Amino acid sequence: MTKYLLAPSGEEVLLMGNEAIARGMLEAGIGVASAYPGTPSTEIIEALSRVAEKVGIYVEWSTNEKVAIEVAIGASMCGVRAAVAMKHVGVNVASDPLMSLGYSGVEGGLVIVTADDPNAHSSQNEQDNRYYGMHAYIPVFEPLSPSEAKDLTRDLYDLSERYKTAVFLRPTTRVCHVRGNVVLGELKKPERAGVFRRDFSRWVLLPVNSRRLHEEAINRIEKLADSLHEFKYNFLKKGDGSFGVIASGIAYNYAVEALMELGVYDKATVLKLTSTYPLPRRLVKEFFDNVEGKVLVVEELDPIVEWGIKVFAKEEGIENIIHGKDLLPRVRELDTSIVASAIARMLGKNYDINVYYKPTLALPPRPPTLCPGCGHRAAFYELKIASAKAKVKAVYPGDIGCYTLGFFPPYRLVDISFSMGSGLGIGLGIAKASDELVVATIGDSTFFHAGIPALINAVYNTTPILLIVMDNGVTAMTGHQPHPGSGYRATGGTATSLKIENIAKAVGVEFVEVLDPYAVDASVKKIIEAMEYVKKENKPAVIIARRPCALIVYRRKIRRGEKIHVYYVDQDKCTKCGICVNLFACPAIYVEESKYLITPTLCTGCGVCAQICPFKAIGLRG
Amino acid sequence: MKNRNILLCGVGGQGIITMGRLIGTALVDKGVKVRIAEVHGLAQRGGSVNVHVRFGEDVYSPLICKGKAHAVVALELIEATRYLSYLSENGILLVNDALIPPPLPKIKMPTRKEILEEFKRLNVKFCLVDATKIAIKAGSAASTNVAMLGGMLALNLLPLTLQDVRRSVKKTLPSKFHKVNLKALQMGFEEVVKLKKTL
Repeated sequence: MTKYLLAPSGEEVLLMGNEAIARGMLEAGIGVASAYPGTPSTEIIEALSRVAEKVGIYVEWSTNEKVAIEVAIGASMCGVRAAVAMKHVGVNVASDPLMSLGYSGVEGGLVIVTADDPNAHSSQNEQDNRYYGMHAYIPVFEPLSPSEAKDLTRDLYDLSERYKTAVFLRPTTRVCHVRGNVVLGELKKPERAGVFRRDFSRWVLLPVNSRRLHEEAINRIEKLADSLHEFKYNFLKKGDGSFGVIASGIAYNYAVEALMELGVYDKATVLKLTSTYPLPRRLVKEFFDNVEGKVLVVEELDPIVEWGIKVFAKEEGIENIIHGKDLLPRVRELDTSIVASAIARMLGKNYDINVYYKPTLALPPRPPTLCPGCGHRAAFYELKIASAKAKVKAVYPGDIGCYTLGFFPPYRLVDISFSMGSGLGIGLGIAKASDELVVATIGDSTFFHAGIPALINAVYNTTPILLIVMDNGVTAMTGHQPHPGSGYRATGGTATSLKIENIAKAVGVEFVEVLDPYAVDASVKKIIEAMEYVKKENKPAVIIARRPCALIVYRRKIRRGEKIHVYYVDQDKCTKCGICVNLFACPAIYVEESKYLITPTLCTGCGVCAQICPFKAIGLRG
Repeated sequence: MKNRNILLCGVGGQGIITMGRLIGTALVDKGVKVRIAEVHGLAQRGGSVNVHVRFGEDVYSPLICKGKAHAVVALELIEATRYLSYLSENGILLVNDALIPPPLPKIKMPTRKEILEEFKRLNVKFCLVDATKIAIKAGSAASTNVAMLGGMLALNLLPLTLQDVRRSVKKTLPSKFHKVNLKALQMGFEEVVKLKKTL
C-alpha cells in the first residue's frame, strides 16, 4: 500500500477511500496528523504513519479524539497544515475544543475528518455529524468516491487557509471503505518548521474575545455561503425543467444510477452538493431557476440539506414542492433501489425491486467472534465460572472493543455497552443506586482513552466495583494500532509503556492484581478474591487480564516459520459433555456427527480448552 | 462496457477483501472504472463478510442492490445461501464446497445436502467447486480465495485474462506468497473449465 501512497503524479491506482484521503493530505503538504483509531476512519492515519518518516511528517495515535484534535490545533496555530481523523462518535469526545475552534479559526490549514457510519456497521449509533458543522460554524464537505475524496481533501487545505477556518471532511463508510480508481496528483513538500503565532485576540477565549469571535464565526460562514457556487465540487446539471434532484455526497451516486435506471436522467435537473453546510446559495437559486416541477432532496440520515433548502426556498419565495424524508428513510444507508423507488413515487411511476432467489432454508446467524486463542474469551469464561463459584449475581457493564463480543452467547457478560469508557462510569451509578455487585470490563486502549477519570472517581467516592481490564497490548478491533501501553508509536520505534496496574495503584486503588487468562484455575481464584474484597471492603478493585492479542502472536509465529502446536480431542476420553463448545465456544472446536473435533488450521495452541475439559480429553498433538 | 455487479461473500478470515483487491487492481490496470465496497472493523475474524464489486463506465454507486448481481461468488455454502437474494435472474453462483459452522452454542445447522437441494429447488445456475482442496494441493488452504478467482475467470465473470490476474497477484501480495497463489489460480481456473460443462 505504501508504494501506491507515494506513487508518482499521473499514475492511476486502486485506492481505498481512506488511503485516497491520506494521499490528498500528502498532496496538500500537511506536516502533522493525529487520530484515535475508529472504524471507518482508521486507515487514513494508518496510511500516513507508514510513510511519515519517508516524507518527513509527524504522525501520532493520540490517547483519544479530544487530545488528537488539540494536537492538530496546536500545529495549525504554528502555521503548519494539520489533519485529524476520527469516527463520527469520536467527534463527541473532541467536541469541547471543537466548539472553541469554530470561534478561533485557524492559521495553518486544518481538515477534521469525521467518518460517519450510516447503518452503524461498526458503531453504537448512526449520528449525523453535519450537525457539528452547524453547531461549531465549521463548514462541512461530503466526498462521493475515493477519487473525489483525494482531490477534495487537497483543495480543502487552500479553502481552510483562505477563510481561516477549520473544515470538516465528512466521508461515510461507503467512501472510506470503498476502493476505486484514483489518478494521483503532485506530492507537496511538507512544511514542518512552524512558529507559534501568538494572537491573544483569537487563541484566548475569555468572554471579552468570545463575544466578538462568535460574530466573526458567523460572518465567516456567511461569506463562504456566498462563494461556494464557484467551488468546483458543487455542480448543476440542467434537464428539461420538469423535475429536479438535489443529492449530497455518497447519495449522489445512488441518485444518478436511479435516474438512469428509470430512464429519466436527461430530463432531470440535478444539483450535486459537496458543501452541505453552508449551502452554496447562488447555485441553489440557479437550480430552482431551472426547475418548474417537484424536487427531491436525496441525502443519508437526517434531513439537513432538506431543511436548509426549505428555509432558503421560503426566504426566496420559491414555490416548488420539495420532497425529502417523506419519501426516503431517515435511518440506515441508501442504495440505488431505495432512491429509484422514491423518485418513481414522486413522478407517479412504478418501480419494482425484484428478488429472484429467496431461500427458505433456516440459516444460522454468523456474528463476529473472538478469535481462536483470544485472551478475552478465556477471561470471560473465567468470569463466568468465578461468578458461579462465588454465587454472585452481578451486573456486567461492558465497553467498546473486541471484548464487546462478550455480549454474545454463551458468555452473555456485557449488560451495557454505551460509549468509550462508559461501562465503568455507568457501573459506578449502579453500584451507588443498588445493592448489586458490579463487575465492569474494559479494554486496555479504552482504559487509556476514557477509563481513567471514572476509575479516579471510584476511588474518590469509594464506590464498590470490580473493574477487569482486558489487556491485549494494542487497539485490536481497529487493526492493531499502538496505544500508551504498547511500547511503540504510530511510526514504530520504542516508547514508554505505561502499565495499567501502576496507574490503578497510583490513583489509589488498593486491590490491584494482574492475571494471565491462559491460566484458568489461578485466574478464577483471583477473580473470586477480588469480588469478595469489593463486597467486604466496599471499595473498588482492579484486575488486569493480560495476554497479547492472539492474532498478532499467531501472525508473528507464521511469519517466523515457527510451528504451531495444536490440540486435538481424544475420542476415547471425550464424554460429549459439550463444555468446550457450549460454554467456551472457541471457533476452532466444532461438532460433526456428534463428535467433538478441533480444526488444526484454526487452533493457535493456547491450551485453554485442555484446561477446562473436565475429562482431560483434549491434548497436544504429538 | 456495460455495468457488471459481482458479490463476493464468505466467512471473515477467508480472504474475501483480498480477492476484491486483486480484482480491482487488475481492472484499474486495464483502465476499467471500478468501485468495490467492503466492511471493516467490529472483529477481525469469523463473521459473515461481503464485498461488492462493480465495474463499467456508468458505475457510480459502490453497492449492489438485491436482485442485481450478475454473479455471486461464495467461499462458503451457508454464506452463499445468505446472499442468494442478490443474484439477478439467471445469474451465476460460483460456490466453494465448504461448510463452516458458526461457533455458536446449540444452533441448528443445515447440511451440505440440504443447501445444495435448496439451490436446485430455486433453479439457481450454480457451479460447485472444492477450492479449498485445490488450494491445499497448490500448497496452502489460505489460497482458497485465489483458486476461486481462477474459477471466476473460467466462467468469464471478469473482463480479465489469467495473465492480468497473475500480474495483480504479484503487485498486491507479498512475494513469498506468489508461487502458491499463482498455482492455486491456475488450478482453480482449470478445475472450473472442467466443471463448466455441467452448469
